Amino acid sequence: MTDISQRELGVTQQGHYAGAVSRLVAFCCDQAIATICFSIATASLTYIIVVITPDNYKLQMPPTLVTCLYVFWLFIYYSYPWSTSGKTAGMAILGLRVVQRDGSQTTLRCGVLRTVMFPLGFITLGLGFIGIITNKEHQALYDRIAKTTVVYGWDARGARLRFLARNSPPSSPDHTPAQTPEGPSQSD
Amino acid sequence: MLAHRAAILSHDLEVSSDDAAGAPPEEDNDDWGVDAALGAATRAARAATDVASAVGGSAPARLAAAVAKRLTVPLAKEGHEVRERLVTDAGPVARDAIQRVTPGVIDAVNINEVLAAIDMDALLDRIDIDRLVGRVDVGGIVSKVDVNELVQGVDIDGIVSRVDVAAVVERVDVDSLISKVNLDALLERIDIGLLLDRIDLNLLLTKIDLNELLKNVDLNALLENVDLDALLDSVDMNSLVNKLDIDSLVRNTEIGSLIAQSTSGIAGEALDVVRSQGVGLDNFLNRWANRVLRRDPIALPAGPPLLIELAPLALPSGQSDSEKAQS
Repeated sequence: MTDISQRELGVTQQGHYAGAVSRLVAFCCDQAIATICFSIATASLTYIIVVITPDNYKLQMPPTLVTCLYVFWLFIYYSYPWSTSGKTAGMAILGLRVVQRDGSQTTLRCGVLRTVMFPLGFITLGLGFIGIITNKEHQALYDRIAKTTVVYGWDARGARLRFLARNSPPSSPDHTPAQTPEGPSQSD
Repeated sequence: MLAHRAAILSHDLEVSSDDAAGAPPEEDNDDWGVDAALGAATRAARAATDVASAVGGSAPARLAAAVAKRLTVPLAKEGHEVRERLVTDAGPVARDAIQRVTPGVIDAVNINEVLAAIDMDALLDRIDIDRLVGRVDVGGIVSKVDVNELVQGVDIDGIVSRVDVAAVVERVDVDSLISKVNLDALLERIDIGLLLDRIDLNLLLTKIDLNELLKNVDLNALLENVDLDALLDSVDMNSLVNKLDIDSLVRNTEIGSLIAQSTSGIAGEALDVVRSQGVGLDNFLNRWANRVLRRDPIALPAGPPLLIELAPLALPSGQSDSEKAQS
C-alpha cells in the first residue's frame, strides 16, 4: 500500500471502529499529557508552599497521598472528556472518539463507568485489552461493561479536501478526471 | 251689427241660389210675397250697410242709424224671425249638402299629391320631439308589456344568423371601446385561479414555439429587472452544495490549491500524517487478526450503525462498506 492510498484510506474510514495501534498511541499520549500536567501542578504547588513558608519548613507529602491525587487527577482527566466530547487530548491528536455502541454521543454515566472500569485492562494483565483486536466491535473489557466503543472521528471532510488538494494535478483546460493517477474519482 | 249679419246671410243665400239654379223654383210660387219682402229687406240692409260703412262712425251717421233702427223695428222683427227659421232649417240642409258633396270632394282630391306638397322636414322641425316624448308615459307602456312573452316570440337565432358580424366588428371602434373600459375594475372581478384551472397548460405549451419565443426575448433587459438577492434567498444553497461533486471540483480547479494553502499548516500536515499512519497500522493489525481468527472482513461491521449511515454526509465521495464489497 503506497503512502497516498494509505492516507486516503484513513480519511475514508471516518466513523469506523478504531484499531489497537491508534488507541495505544492515544493512550500513551494521554498518559504523558496527564502525567506532565500533574507533575507541573505538583511542582508548582510545592514551589508555592516553599515560597510562602519559613526556610526551616520542609514539605513532605506521603506517597499514598500523591498516588491518590494522581489517580484522582487521572479520573478527572479521562472521565470528564469522555462524558462530554468523547475524546481526551491524546485521542484528539490521533483523531479518535469514544461513542456508545450505536454511535451516539456518550453520557456522563458512560464516561464515568468507562473510566472506573478502565484499570481492569491492567488488572487482568492486559487480557482486558485483547478485545480491541479480537472483538468485532473492537471493544475492550471496559468498553463492553460501559457499552462504548472507539471510532475514528477526526475532521474527515477537511482532511479529505486537504488530501485531494495536495494530490491534485496542475489545472489545465483539457484536464479530465480520468487523467488523475487514482482514476476519475476515488469513490468510483 | 245685426244688419251686417243679415247682409252676409242674404249674400250667401243669394250666391247659393245662383249656383244652384239661377232662378227661383216654379213650385214655390205661393211664397213669392215673402221672398219679395225678404229680397227688399236684403237690398235695403245691403244699402244701409254700404252707407254705414261709407259714412263711418260720424255723429250724423250714428243719428241716422238710430233713426233708421227705430223706423225699421217692424222690419227687423220680421227679418229676425226669418233668420231664425233659416238657421233652424239650414242645419239639415247643410248636412245634406255636405253628405252629397263630400264623396265628390274626396274623389277629386289626390292624397299623394297633397302629401307630396307637404314639406315634411319643415313639419317635423315644428314638432317639439322632447315635449312629445315627455308626454308619453313610458313606464306605463313598459309595465303593460310582457317582456318574457315578447322575448319568447323573438327568433334570436334567426336574427343572429342574419347579422353580418364581420361588418359589425369592422364598424366598431375598438380603441374607443377599450378606452372606456375600466380594466382595474374588470380585473378585480375576474377569478384568476378559476380561470387558470380551466386552462390546459400542457396543451397550451405544446402550441408554443419556445425557440421562436426566446429569440424575441431581450435577456439582458430581463436580467436587469431580476432581483438576484431575493432569488438567491429563495434557493436552498445547502441542498445545492450537497449535489456538487466536491472531489471533482477540488481536483480540477484552483480551489484545491487554495484550500491546501489556507488550511494545511505544519501541525495539520503532521496530524494528518500521524493519523493516517495510525489508521494504516490498525488496518494491518486487523487484517492479521482476521486471518488468524478466520473471519471474513466484509462480514464484519465497519462501525456503529449511526456513524456508518452518516458517513456519506461526512465524506463527499468516500466509499461505504457495501460499495467496497460490491467492488
